[in-house]
Amino acid sequence: MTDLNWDAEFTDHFTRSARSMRFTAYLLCGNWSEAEDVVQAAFLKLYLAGPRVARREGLDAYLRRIVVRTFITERRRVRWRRERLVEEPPELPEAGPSSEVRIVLWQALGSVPPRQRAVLVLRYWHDLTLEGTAAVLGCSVGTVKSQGNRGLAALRRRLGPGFDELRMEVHRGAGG
Amino acid sequence: MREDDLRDVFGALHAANDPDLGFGATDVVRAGHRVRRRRRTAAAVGSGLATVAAAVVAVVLLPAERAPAPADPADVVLTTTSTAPPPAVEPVPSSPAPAIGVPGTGSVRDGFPAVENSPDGTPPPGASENPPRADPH
Repeated sequence: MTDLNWDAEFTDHFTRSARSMRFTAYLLCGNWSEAEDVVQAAFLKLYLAGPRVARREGLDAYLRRIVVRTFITERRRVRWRRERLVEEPPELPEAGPSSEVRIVLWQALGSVPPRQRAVLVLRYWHDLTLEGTAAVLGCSVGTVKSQGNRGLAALRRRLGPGFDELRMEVHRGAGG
Repeated sequence: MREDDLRDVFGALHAANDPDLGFGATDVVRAGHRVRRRRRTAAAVGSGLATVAAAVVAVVLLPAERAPAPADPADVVLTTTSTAPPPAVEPVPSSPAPAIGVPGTGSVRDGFPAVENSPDGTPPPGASENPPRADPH
C-alpha cells in the first residue's frame, strides 16, 4: 500500500472514530483537554505505525490500545512531575435527573489509580471480556481481575456508606 | 455502589454534548510527515557520524598496529650459495685448422702446444700449469 492510500484510509478512519476514541480518553482522563492530547498522540502513533502494523489486530482495537497505554504512560509521567496543570477545574457531567449521583460517582472515579480506572472503563464502557481487557493493557487475566476489584473497592471507599442512601433518595425523588 | 452505576454514569456522559475536536486528520498526517522527516534526518546524521567515527578510529589505531618493529642488527652474516649448475661454456665454433705438429708429441693448435691430460683428468707428470720460466741469469 502506498503512502497516499494509507493517508486516505487513515483520514477515513479518523473521521469515523476520532470522537468515540476521544470519549474513551475522556473517561480515562476526566477532562477534555487531556483527553484530546492523549487521542492526538494515539492517532499520530497509529499513522506512523502504518497499515501493516495497524491491521494486524484491527484499527479500532489497535487505536484503543494506544489510547489506554498513552494515558497510563502520561499519568506515570505526571506523577513523577508531582504537579498537574489544568486550564479549568475538573469538568462535571451535565445536569440530569440523577445528576447528583453521577457527579459524586464521577468525582470519586477521579481518585482511582490510572491502571484500575482503565480496567473499569474497558470493562464497563467497552464491555470487553477479561481476556480482551488483558490484551489491551498487556497483562494477564489475573491482573485484570485484581485491578478491577481494587478499582471498585477504591470507588466504594471513596463514596462511603452514604452513597447508597443518596442514590435511593435521588431515585425516590425522580419517581415521586 | 454497583457496577451498573458506573455504566449509568458513562452512558449519561456519552449522551451529553461533547466539545468539538480541536484537531483534524490533516493535522495528524502533517505531524506524521514531520516526524518521519525528522527521523530520516536523524538517521542520516547518525550514520554519517558513525562513518566519520569509524574512519577516525581507523586512522588513529591502525597505523600503530601496522608499524614495523625496528630491525635488530643481525649477529651472523648469512651467505648464500647457489645450487644452480655453473653456466656451461659453449665451445666456440671454429673451422678446423690444419694440424701442425709432430705425431706422438701432441698436437699444436694455433701455435700453442696442446697439453694432453691423462684419462682421469690429471695432468701428466712433469706438466704444470705454470711452466718454469727460464732463469734470466
